[in-house]
This record gives sequence, C-alpha cells and structure tokens, in this order.
Amino acid sequence: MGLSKNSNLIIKLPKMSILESPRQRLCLSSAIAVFLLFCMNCAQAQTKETNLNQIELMKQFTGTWKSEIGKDTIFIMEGKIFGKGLDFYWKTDTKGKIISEGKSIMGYDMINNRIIEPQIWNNSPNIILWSGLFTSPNIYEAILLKDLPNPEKVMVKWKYEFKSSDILECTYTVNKKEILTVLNRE
Amino acid sequence: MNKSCLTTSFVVLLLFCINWAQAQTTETRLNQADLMKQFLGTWKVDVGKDTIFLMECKSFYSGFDFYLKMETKGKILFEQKTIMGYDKESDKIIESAINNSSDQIILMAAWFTSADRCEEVLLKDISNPEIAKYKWLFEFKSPDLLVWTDMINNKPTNTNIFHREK
Repeated sequence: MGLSKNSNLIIKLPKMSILESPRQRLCLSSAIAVFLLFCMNCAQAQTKETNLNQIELMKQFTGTWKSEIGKDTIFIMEGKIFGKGLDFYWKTDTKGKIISEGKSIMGYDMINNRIIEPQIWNNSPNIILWSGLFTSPNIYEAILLKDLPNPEKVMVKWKYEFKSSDILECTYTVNKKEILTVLNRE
Repeated sequence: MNKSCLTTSFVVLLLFCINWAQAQTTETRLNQADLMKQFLGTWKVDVGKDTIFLMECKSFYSGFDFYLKMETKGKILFEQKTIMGYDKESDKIIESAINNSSDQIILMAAWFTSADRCEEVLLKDISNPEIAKYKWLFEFKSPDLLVWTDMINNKPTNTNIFHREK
C-alpha cells in the first residue's frame, strides 16, 4: 500500500507542475523578472562603489593652487581643463626667481584603467611618467608607470587628498620618507 | 720571442677592433632629443577648402610642447595638446596626447631612424614596432618641409605636407 501511494504521488507530481497552469507560469515569470531586477540593481551598486568616474574626479585638480613652502618661497600649480584631460603648469618661486618649474598633461588611459601624467621638469633630462587612480572620491594615488607591474616595490609615490574643495594635501613618499605639502586654492 | 710578438699583435688587433666598434656606435647612435628640435616652430598644411591643420611646437627645457588644431573658417574642428620628452631607458621620445574629441590620453613612442626621418608607434607596441597596427612617419624633406604619413598595417593611409610658417 505504501508503495502504491508513493507511486501515485510520483505520478501526480508532474501534473501539479506550475508549468501546466498559465496563472502559475505567469507567477514564475514575474518572480524571475523580479529576481533579475534585484540582481541587476545589486551589480550596478557594486560598479558605482568600485569603479569611480576617474575622468570626472580629475576635474578637482583644476584651478590655481598655492603653498608657502619656505621663507619668501611659494609653490604654485595651475590646472586647466583641455578636452577630457588636464593641462598643468607649476613652479617654485623665491623672491620672483623661479627655482623649479614643470609642465604636464593628465588623462585617462582606458586600456589600463589608469590616469597617466607625463611630466617635464626644468631639472630632468627625461620625461617622467606617472600612473595614478582615484582610490576614493577625494584621494588620488600615483606611482611611476614603470613600477606598475610591481607596485609593492615602489620607491616613490604621490598621494593627493582633497580635504575640501579648496585644500589639497600632497604627500610625496621617497624611500618610505613622507614629505607633506598643503596647497590652498587661490 | 715569437710568442711575445704574437701576443702583442693579438692585443693590438683587439684594441683596433674595440676602437673601430666604438667609432661605429658613435656614428650610428642618433641624438634623439637633439633631432627632435627640427619640429620646433609653427607648421601648416591646407587639408581642404578653407580648412587648415596647424601644428605648433615649443621647447620646454629638455622636452617639447605641441599644440595641434584643424580649423575651418575660424571654427576649431579638432585640437590636441601633447608633451614629448626623452626616455633614457628606451632611448626613445615618449609622446602623450590629449584632444578635444576623445576622453583618453594616448601614449606613443617616437624615434629617429636617420637624421631626417622619425617613426612613431603606440607605446604599447614599443617592443614590436614592426608589427604595430598604427604607425606615423615624419620626414623632414628640408628644414621648412615636413611630410607626415599615417600608416595602418605598414601601408600609408594619409599624407600631409606641412610647411614651416615664417
């Protein structure tokens, strides 16, 4: 008897399948759609959290930034928008005399998902290529492009932190020694 | 006596060979940064009716600063800024460019293969330039005439003849 009941149950189960009832089919489709929408929403939120809009965040550097770095000595950096990138000029000036100056452009490199900044300095015969990324909406970190394959072995790096829209903290690390410069927007 | 003579001759021959090899290297190794100076100035080409392509090159210490624009009747169709500088490690000139029509920075590597001929590829192709899809050739036919050829898969696709502006 028991076996017979089980047999009936086995036979009846396919008849109970929701695929056989249009209403229940509709119910299943709706459930799948709701589940898919939920998954998509979840994925979008993840993207927003992990993939910052690097091009947009770069614009925070625009403007003129200044810092008094010593007696009668000022550092000035100017960032201007050009296309979707930036154009920089900076100088260190003591009593009107330029001690050092440089130029660079900054742009997003889609292949590596990195921001690239090539720099030319008055005191370097070589072009210097920096590669960076906004790791949060107000922190930009850069290392030399040649160090990109081994970021754990870098000797020099930059960290720029926007403390507010008008205050930028620049930390240059060389051989684990940090040099901090605070820039104020003019 | 013979042995010492042979040794001396051998040493002299070796010294001669080393000297000759050094002379060869000095002759063939081009000064990339110096040759780049040929680009300095303003260059212009008419690329169509009322349309000009202008290229300005200025030096900035050891590097170069380019501004390119294409305009029709005063309206800018395209503009680009680039920074170029010498990279000792690769013995090449590295160029980076941003323009108004793309949201990306473009990195390229250029080098003179002779005193008046410069080749350029994307930086990612620097290790195998011969198989690079995109290549650009710059030939100084005279100090005031520059021929710029775009190449795809080693075939010319476009040529612009720039004249130096006085």
